[in-house]
Amino acid sequence: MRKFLVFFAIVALVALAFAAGDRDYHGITIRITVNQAGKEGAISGPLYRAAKIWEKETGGKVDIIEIPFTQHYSKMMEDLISGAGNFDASIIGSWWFGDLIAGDFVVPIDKYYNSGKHPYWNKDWLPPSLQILHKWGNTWYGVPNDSDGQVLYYRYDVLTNPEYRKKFKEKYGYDLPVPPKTWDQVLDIARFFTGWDWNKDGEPDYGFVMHLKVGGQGMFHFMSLSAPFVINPYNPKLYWFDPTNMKPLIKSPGHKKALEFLIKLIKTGPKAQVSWDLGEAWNFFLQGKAVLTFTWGDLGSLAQDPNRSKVKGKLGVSVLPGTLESYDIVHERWVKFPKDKPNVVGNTTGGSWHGVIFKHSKHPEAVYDFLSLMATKDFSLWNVSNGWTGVDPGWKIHFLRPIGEASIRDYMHYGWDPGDIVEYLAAYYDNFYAKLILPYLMIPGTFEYWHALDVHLSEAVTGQKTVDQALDAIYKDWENITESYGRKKLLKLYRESIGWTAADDKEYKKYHH
Amino acid sequence: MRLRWYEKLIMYVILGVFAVWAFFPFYWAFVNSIKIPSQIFQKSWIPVVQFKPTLHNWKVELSTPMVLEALRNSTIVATVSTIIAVFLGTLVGFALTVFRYRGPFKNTDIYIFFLTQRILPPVVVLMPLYIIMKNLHLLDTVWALIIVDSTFNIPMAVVIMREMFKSLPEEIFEAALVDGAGWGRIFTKVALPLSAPGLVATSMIIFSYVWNEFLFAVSFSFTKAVTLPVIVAGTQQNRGIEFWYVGTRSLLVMIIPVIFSLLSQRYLVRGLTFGAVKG
Amino acid sequence: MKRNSAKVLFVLPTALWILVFTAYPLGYLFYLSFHRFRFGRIIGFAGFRNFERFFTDDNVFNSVIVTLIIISVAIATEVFLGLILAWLVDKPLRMNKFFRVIFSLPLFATPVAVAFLFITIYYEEGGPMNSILGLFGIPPVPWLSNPFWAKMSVAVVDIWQWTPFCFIVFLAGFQSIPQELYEAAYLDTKSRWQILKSVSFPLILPIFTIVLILRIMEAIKIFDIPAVLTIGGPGRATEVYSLFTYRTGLKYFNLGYASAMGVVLLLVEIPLIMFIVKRLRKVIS
Repeated sequence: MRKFLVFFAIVALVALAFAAGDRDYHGITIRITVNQAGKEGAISGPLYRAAKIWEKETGGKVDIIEIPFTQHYSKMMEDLISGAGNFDASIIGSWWFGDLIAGDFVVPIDKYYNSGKHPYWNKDWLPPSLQILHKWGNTWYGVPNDSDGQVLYYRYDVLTNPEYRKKFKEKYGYDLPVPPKTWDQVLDIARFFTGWDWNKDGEPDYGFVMHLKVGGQGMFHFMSLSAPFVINPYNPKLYWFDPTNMKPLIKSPGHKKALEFLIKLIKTGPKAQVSWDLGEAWNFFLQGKAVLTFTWGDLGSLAQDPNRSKVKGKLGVSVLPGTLESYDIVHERWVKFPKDKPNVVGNTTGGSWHGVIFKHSKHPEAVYDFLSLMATKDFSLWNVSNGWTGVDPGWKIHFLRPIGEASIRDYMHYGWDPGDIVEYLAAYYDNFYAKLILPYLMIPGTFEYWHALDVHLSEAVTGQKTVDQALDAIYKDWENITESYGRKKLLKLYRESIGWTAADDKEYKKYHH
Repeated sequence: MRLRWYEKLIMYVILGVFAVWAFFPFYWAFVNSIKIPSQIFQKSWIPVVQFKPTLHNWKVELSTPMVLEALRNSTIVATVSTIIAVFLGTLVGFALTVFRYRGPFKNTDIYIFFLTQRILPPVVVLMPLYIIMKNLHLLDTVWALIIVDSTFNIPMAVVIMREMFKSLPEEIFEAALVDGAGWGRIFTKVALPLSAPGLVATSMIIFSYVWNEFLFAVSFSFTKAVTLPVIVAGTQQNRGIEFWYVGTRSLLVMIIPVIFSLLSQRYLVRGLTFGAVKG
Repeated sequence: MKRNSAKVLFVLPTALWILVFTAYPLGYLFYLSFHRFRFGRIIGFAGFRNFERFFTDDNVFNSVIVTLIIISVAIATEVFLGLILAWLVDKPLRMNKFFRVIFSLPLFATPVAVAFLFITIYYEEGGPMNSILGLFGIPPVPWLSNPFWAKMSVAVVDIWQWTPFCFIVFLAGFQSIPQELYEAAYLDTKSRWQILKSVSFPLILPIFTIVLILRIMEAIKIFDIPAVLTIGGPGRATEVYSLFTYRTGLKYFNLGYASAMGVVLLLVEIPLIMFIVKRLRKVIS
């Protein structure tokens, strides 16, 4: 009931704030696609709520078309390619962006943003790491909505258990760090908690759990994990391709070490996880059967739901751990870091699902108006503080005062444990505002590149290929994809997308001939 | 031949095991469809005794516009394709029975020409058909699916109807000819009524095939023309698979073809074996 | 209607329909396979580049092997089980009608739905399959997480779905054997094994060949089950040829390359089709 009251309060507030007559969209219906999850589901759910408010305010109508995640990209592309033009907008994953730009399917939003006629949101709320996902060069195409990034979740209650800590120290010779600061520590902890009954339910438990099914977004795990193995202060930009010839960098010693590490880590989890989707893997952690996992913000908010979770109030969250050694691709060398200052890299791994407006839409302004409603402070805050919405925090306004504009009370309203929320937001702040961020691939073909990555990683983690073979296969597939699109064209777009300049070239060419 | 008691026992055991095997998935779908999400992965198999059944999933499912729309699309596509395929196939089946073709294309050649259509793997023509449908602006309409599905099912109709007409005594046609009836009349007034059971069975078989078709459905429809199998396949969302809806949806989609298959079995053997084996 | 015009009129519409919607697409398939298709349109002539990639692409090789493994396991089991069950049901048992109905249930069950159901059935942390096997002391099988077992899982679903087909065709075959033949043989030898060898087996052999051919023909098309059950995974362990082609064409929108895959499949199938046609000719005339 309280949720409803708050919801209606927001409806009223938003309605009051934008009662202006400028926004009259009577007789206009906008059609928008989103991942299928229903009226109470992730990403799609908030759309229904926003539609209700928007329809009341402007008189327009919103048609929400839900398409299953596994088919959303291809169906959207089919519609655009075939010229059918059934949709005005889509809530896209940021890795589809390159194809939309290259195909010239979307319109910039700057004109509408600057007009001041529409619900207010501010580009500067977003940290630069997230801004990049919504624009091409300096032109904005996306209206912000979700902020995805993976963080480390751990069982605070288990890791601080004195008895377990004592045993850990005996075995590994150092104090169990809470939270762990490096991946090596994570591996020690995960190994330590694997194979015995630490939650006292009569069954042996595990250290770690991941979702690694093909098509289950398992490649995201590798990206986030490998970030500090490849990205470092000496190489902040190069992760995907060589910026001079578009050759894949995936076979670099850093990537290789990361994959070897991932395989070691998987051994501390249930065997079935290689066939698990997000739902099964999260369920496993929420049922208290694993000590650690790393994934999106959804898990933190799902943990607050007593129907699904046994770990409410027992949650620790931190930015993903770093490494003490990282491979510098620019200078072709390993770089070492001091024990107390590991190399930590933030990530925007995931979709950061947000709206874009299609070129053929007859009512781009109305569509923008609707999308920007979801980016307003009130709506967004409601969005991130409610677990089921699947919208994760990341903007300045989502964080607690004095950094941001939210208060603990705002979150407690929606059933958050106060301890959990402080940890959760701090971890997200550390992640999105990290000095180094894993570069996000935004060129055309990213969907295909990432799928090849997903498939061959799965081969490596299920023992069908050795690490070298898997990386080789990825390399070959990526080369084929690059060729099929045209190497020159992609190279230009890639350099633009990571902001690679002639000056960078000079430095790079000193070490590569 | 008499069976000894222990032989009977062994047979019943083997048959029983396979009966359970064949039936279990249907039961499992039913059980899942009346469970709430948190009960899905529990080891409970018997409703009421082990868990409290709920109709919630069914209520949600049958009030989801998407599912209802897919149900409508599936019905339209299957019905229209069946009519086209059966009509076109029956014409050929009839002609191959009553006429003797000479010259380069004899009866067998014509028959085989239609059969090769069925041997062709659909994925071979998928890409060109996709672009053709795109150019005709038929993508995401039921028409694209109707065209493709009827094309691929014409052979089935040819086979079964040819068998059907062959089983009619030839004298009937002769008599009608003597009475001065044209071939059109003979076809509609004599041949069709006499082969009505075969016609119904053929329709049921083709209806089921179209109803179950997935490859073309998932390729040629994105939102408006989506059929039930595509909806079932879409039970996977970005937070994993919703097993409880797998239960409701799979039962919803399977029920018609399963019933049809039982009703049309005698003709099925002929159809599926190109008339090589009589049912 | 005169006989000669009727002869043409009855066949022409259907023949035209097939030509327009099959022959034309096949021609277009060849055209596409020699072009580059990207950004939603044909972007140039490719020469033999699509075919070059085809024969050097490890993914193609993988999908061929995977398809062969899955369908040979599935077909062998289906034909064997179908034969046994038909032989058992073709007996004066009291409940044979009942078994006949039950065994035919899977025949037209929507493959996509079945595949999805089997995800829950195979569930490795206490799903029904492993629970039942557990009753017999069999340790849990990693149905979907192990590359070998994933192939078997796909085959098992196919077996569930298609054994009924083999069953009803064989049953029809057994039932077409005249009872007198059995009786005569029974008087002759009294040995059940002899009857099986000298009466049932020779008479069922032609049907056996037909079933085998038809199954191979259908099984090559396999798509629905791996597309839903495993999405081709883990890795590419169940990425069958149709699934790989579909993915290339309609997920990555590289229709040129996907068309090349279609062309090769067609060329490989032609001998098979000719073989089937040859056998059919015998049966028909």
